[in-house]
Amino acid sequence: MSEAFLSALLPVVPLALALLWPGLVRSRPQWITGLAAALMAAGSVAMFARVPGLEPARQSWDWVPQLGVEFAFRLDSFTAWFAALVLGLGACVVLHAGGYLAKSRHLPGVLAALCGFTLAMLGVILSDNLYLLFLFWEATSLLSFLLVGFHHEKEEVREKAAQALLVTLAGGACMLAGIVLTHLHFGTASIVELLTMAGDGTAATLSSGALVLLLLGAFTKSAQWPFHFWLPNAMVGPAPVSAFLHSATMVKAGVFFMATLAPLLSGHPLWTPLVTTAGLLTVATAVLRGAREQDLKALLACTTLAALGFLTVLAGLGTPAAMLGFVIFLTAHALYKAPLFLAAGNLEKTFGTRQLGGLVGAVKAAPFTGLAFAVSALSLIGLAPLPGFLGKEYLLKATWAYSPLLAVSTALAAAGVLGLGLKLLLPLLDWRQRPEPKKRLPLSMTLAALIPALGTLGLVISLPATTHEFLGAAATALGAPADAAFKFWHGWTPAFGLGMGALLLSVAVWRVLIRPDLAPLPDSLQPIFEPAFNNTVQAIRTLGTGAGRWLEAGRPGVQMGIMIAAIGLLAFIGLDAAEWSFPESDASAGTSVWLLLAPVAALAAFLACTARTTLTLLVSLGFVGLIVALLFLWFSAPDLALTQLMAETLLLFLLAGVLKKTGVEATTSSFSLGRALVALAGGLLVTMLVLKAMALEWDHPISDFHLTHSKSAAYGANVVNVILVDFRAIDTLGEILVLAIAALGATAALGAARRRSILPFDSESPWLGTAARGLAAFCLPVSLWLFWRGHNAPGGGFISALVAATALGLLLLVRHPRLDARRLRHASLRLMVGGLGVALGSALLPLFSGKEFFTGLWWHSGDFHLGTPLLFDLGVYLTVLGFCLGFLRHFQPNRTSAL
Amino acid sequence: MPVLLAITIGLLATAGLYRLLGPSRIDALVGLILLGQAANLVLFASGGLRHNAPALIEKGMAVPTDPLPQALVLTAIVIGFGIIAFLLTLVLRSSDK
Repeated sequence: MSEAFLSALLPVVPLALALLWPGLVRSRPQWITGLAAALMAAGSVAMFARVPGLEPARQSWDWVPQLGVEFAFRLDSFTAWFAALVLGLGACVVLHAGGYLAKSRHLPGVLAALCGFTLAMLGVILSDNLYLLFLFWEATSLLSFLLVGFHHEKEEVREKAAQALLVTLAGGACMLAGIVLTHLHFGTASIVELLTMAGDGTAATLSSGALVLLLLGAFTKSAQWPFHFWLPNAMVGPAPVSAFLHSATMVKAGVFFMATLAPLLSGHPLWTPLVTTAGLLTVATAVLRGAREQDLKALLACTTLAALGFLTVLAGLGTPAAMLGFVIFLTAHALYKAPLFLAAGNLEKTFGTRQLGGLVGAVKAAPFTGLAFAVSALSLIGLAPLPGFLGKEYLLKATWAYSPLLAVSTALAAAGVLGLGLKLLLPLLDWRQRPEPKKRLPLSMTLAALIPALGTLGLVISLPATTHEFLGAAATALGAPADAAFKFWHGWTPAFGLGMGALLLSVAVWRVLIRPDLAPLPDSLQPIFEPAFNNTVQAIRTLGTGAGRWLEAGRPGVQMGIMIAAIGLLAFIGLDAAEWSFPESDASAGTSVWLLLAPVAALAAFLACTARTTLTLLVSLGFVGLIVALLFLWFSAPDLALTQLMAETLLLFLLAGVLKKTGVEATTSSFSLGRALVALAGGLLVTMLVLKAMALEWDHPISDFHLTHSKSAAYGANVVNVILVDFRAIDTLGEILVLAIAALGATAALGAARRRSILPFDSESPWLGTAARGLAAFCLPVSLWLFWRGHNAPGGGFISALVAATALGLLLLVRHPRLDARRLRHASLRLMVGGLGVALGSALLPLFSGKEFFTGLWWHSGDFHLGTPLLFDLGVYLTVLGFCLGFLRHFQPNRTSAL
Repeated sequence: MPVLLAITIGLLATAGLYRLLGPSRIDALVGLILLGQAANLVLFASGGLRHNAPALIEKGMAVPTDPLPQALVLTAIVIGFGIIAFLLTLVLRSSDK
């Protein structure tokens, strides 16, 4: 079991190689793609070898057990067979891409996407959990978008790739909803468990909505009518990509999904009518569209549509006979469609055209590619004894057993498709003409097309001997009768008669189709679904643009006003709903001081609002900050007061510098009533919020925990500091990391400007110089003292670092000779890196003594305690200091011309 | 007293919002500074305010203040300072013509 999964994981190797070492892929395209192909081929052989006598197995790991989401995989003869096909054809496609795109700069990306695509498709096939299957399903959609959009420099290609993506993703979203409903109905999301309920009548009561949602996902993926339009459009991708999408992956995911669940869901009355109708309509559409195509690849895309339609019909029947037909049809189609597309790519490269008219007699001119093409096209037409013939036979047999009417319509549709096959093949077989090859192809491309064509022949030869062990076993695992086998000759059955009739009729169809001047489609048959889809997408776009234009007026004030008003309204509704009560006045709070301070705060805020000069603005902002600091102090928060004071000082320092340097005036706008109203409403809301919060009776379990354990567990009397460096240290680590990133961001933003002096004033004043030096000389030791006492008294890493930064700011103001720009830049970086390192190191140290991450390690000596939290605080100190220097250094007057 | 404090915080927020909605870069900057002060105070006030309560744990002293909002506000002040400093460099950069 696990070895099988290992072989499915082999494409990871080239995927990693292409992602990590793209240069190697570019310089040795053939070698690397050859290696990737060899690995995938090995995986295919390993998978293939497991098919005979494989006991169904399942392996799962919990993922989100509460929701029934498991990382679960299943393996039986059918999934192993299909996985082997995907890997084998993937090998050919990768080999072909190495030649087809050898000169492309994007080859590594394509190789990575192809390998990733193979893995995603294998995931779809092997997933047991429906949710897991959905994830892989969406991955195939996304990766196919990247692959189809390979020539992204062309607008047409981008549009078509986006169309394919949108259709399949919209379907995928529906499918997810369907999966959830299915899971709820059946009580399990495991495919293996779901299938055990086949035939017990549970499926009949599944809601029709759930069924339709599931089918929407499968129909969009498999390009079933009416979502068929994206597949021919996806032809804009390179030939190997088309070969892979059409043969074994992507579109096959949809029919695979339907066939897997068919034994179960065909118990629902709507399943068979819905699915078979969609299938037949798809075939009809494909024939009508293909009849008018002259482009080789587009014509091939139409035959893919038709084949998908037939497979959908079989999945729709869901009978054991239909499952038998499904397996042989799927195999035959995968084996002939891949070489057809690869050969089409070769012909295009060789002769420089994809038009049928320009390729007349191409088989003669390019014999090996031509051989691959001819064998595959004959299999498509269903010439006995090629696998395509078997596919058609079993298809007709299954439909006849269900309803002769369905069998006749299927045969008629098949005649149309066979006509398309003749239209495809006969011109190329013309021996009278011989187009001139314009280019020689690398061997790998010819080989890549030839190998699956030889696989077709190999299947024919080996089928009689191995049918029970391989293909039959796969069919049995999918739901066909036990010990299934495939035979070429069934006797003179109605199915054989219908098949022969279809073949004869197809010649007549071909005579009609061959005419290049075929009349255009009548109005009633004109495609309507694609325009409808495009119009819907366009309407959504217009709606979005309109809403954007309305909300984004191009002025930040208006945009933010709308947002603030919306948030405020929501908050107001919430507040209003809550019970209202006024907070009780605390007598001990000392009102008198506040009767004085509140008006000062109001005045400062008003001045900051209306300041006309930079100086007024700075002074008023300074006052606001100072009053906030006093408030913190008044309400028993000395740590906050200190931090606020220092941060405010540094902030004003920076602000003054920037305003002076940029010459921006403090205010330029006149009074605006709208702004004032929004602001007043917001302010009122904040007031209500504060009143409400203060009136509430809080429960403080976390604070109580901190207060109880601060002294005993963390040996600190200053609980605020203990919380920062011990209890919640990991938050603090994140915070200083953010600070470091902000400083690096500032360096990036000002990179070009860092040589310039932006010091606001160039003071030569001896008074200021002396005073600043004296103050700095005082501040630095104070900073260290604050740091040291932080754990047991107001202080700590943040505060002391801000004090030190203020001292350095003062020195910068008077041009201290030792503080040049280059030195500051290095110091800032080193301090931040060192600080983060120390902080992280203090968190990692406990791991070495077998304790949890971030546990404090302590060393005691009597009443003296030393521990890793102090080390962590040192990390905080260094990082914050480095961060402040990172900003302050931009204010350095420039004396050294170098950095 | 709580009402007076709440009104003061509301006024700070009003001033901040008014500046924030203004047309110029400096408006946005000053608005964010004021709004940041108001936000810190809201957080601080919602934790419950006590005058003259001990800030440290000492034997034989009264029940100390709630340390949790203080720790939150302390980091908020520093982060707010970081954001404004970063915005200042952006203002500086955008005036580099």
